[in-house]
Amino acid sequence: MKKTNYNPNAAGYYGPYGGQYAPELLIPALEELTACFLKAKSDKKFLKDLSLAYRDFVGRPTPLMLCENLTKHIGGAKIFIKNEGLAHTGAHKINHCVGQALLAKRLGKKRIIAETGAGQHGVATAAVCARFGFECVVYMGAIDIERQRPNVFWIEQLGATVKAVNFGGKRLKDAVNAAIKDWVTNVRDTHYLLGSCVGPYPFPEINRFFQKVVGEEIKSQLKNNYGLKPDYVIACVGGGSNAMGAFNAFLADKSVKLIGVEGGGFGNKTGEHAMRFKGGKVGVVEGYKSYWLQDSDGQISDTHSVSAGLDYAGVGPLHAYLKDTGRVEYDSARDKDVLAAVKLLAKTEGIVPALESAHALAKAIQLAAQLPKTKTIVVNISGRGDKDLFILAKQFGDKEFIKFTANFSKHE
Amino acid sequence: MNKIQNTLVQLKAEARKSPALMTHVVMGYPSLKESMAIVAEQARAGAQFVELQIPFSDPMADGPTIMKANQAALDKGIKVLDCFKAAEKLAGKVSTPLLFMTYFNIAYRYKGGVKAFCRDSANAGMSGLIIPDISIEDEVENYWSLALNYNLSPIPIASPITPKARLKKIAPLAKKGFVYCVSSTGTTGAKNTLPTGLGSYLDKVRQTVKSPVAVGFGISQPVHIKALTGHTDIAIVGSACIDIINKSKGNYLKAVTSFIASLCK
Repeated sequence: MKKTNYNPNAAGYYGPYGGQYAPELLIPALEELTACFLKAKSDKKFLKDLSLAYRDFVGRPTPLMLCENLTKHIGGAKIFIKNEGLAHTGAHKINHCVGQALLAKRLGKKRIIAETGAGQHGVATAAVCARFGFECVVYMGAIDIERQRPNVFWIEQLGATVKAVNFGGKRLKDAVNAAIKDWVTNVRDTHYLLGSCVGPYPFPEINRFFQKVVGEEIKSQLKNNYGLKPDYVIACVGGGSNAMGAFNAFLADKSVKLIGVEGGGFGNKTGEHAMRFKGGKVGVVEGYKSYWLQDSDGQISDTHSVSAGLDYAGVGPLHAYLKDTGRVEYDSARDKDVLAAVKLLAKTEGIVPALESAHALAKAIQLAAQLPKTKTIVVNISGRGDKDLFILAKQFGDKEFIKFTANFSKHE
Repeated sequence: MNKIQNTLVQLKAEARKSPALMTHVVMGYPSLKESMAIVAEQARAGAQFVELQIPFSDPMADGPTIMKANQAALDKGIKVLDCFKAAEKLAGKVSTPLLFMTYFNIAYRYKGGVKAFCRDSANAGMSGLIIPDISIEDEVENYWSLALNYNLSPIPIASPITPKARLKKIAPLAKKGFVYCVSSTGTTGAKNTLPTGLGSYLDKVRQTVKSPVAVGFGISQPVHIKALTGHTDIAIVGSACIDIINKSKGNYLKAVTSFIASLCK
């Protein structure tokens, strides 16, 4: 990784954020993982295995496409999309999953556990476990399971076990909690495949390393295929892995404006949104220091987003630092604008983005209209929308589809 | 010397065979008033130390029993300040050393920060702190030195997979108290049997750490305490104290009394 001010110090802090606030039981495992990662990331054999897995299993590079119709429709800056939805299993999550599976192999672990919000990380984890030969357990909040049943089905078809998390808010944060508990219990033979740039060091850095390929591709594809450099790169931010991937290659070049988009939900009250940078305060939870949506006592608040992947009370520590330093601007998109963005990209470009990614798109649509045609915006479409079939049908009020789901089981 | 140190000196002087007992209460569970009565009863019935857990929304190191109690207390609206006020009342009432147990965010978000949290804990009559998610290597939050400066015993934690080199780092942090040895990999919660090799692991810790050692996680029965005799100075019974309350169907004080008595036999 290029030396920038955005690299963590030896204790795992990006500025004041991050660190390793973990129970003693996990420290030896975190130290073992750190040592393995630091060695692997400059090991030629490891990097070769990684690039082959990216090419042949993930399907990299994913395309970068100029959205001519959408650009024309808006009438402002050129909009490109980086289509991570075409990566295997349908989202960028597979990038850090193959990377961590290769690390787990080096560590000699037999079992991989993971948490998942939207289910994409769970599917990607189950897929790499099948491919690389690990026993796999995926923790998922009970509410997310209800929202993302198709992904639960696929995780199971890929040979993994899904464990429903029935405590707390029954969402991503609770799934993380359950996964940590499993790891604490089975730390000797188990790798915790953490699914975002969050958690105690070295996880935020490991996932940044395996995701940075996204931004590197954006840079070279835009240059080689279009002779351009981006003026803006926009990505949605839940934990922040896809945004970290898209942004990393541009951090050192201040002429490229970077915008992260949070889940704006439907209102500003607690429990109506997931805008950590608007309503959050600095706290230490789940092993790291960052912005957290919490009450005055430090109890973590409930969150809401139409997309399960952005419905998270914390945010990756490097994002917190990028926010404070002003290197990245953070905004949010409301559920209703996100749904409109899904429809617009589908109708104009023939691509259905994931609800998470549509947050970035909604911001790009708004921004493009205010910019001249000479400007270039790249939106990271972190995943495709297939997984959101049921929630989209409901949100769009598609009566026939709802009838279909009600009648489905009757027609054997 | 604080109350923990005094008690440790006393225990040594008694040259007792069976380990001393540290019990656990989640403040605000089943209610604030009841949790206070339970602390007083545990102390009266023979516990030498009592852990007062300030509930947290994301108790990472706790198993289902304590986690549910945390959530139930928070659902009833318990605040951190309520815990401090209750603790102060209890410290004035019982001579047993009391420790706050909680997670780092509670101390970090406390009005005035970690320093004020330590100061007010000491002022409320607490003798020690147990915070599982602050690392022994912490150099950013100054937790260990702040706690020690306010004459509190911050309790470091060791586990069966803690290597000897780390035990050596842990030893000086335990100078005003004891080392909390987690009995097995896992979270808190009552279990039927103690893990195999527990005795030799504790003996290994004692070779490196001069301070007294305590062992917790999964200890719930008198037979466990007996088995630990000679291997540990203090046995920690946490989740089982809550199980007893849950099973008591209202007559919780009587249940606490007989449970503690059975453990102290």
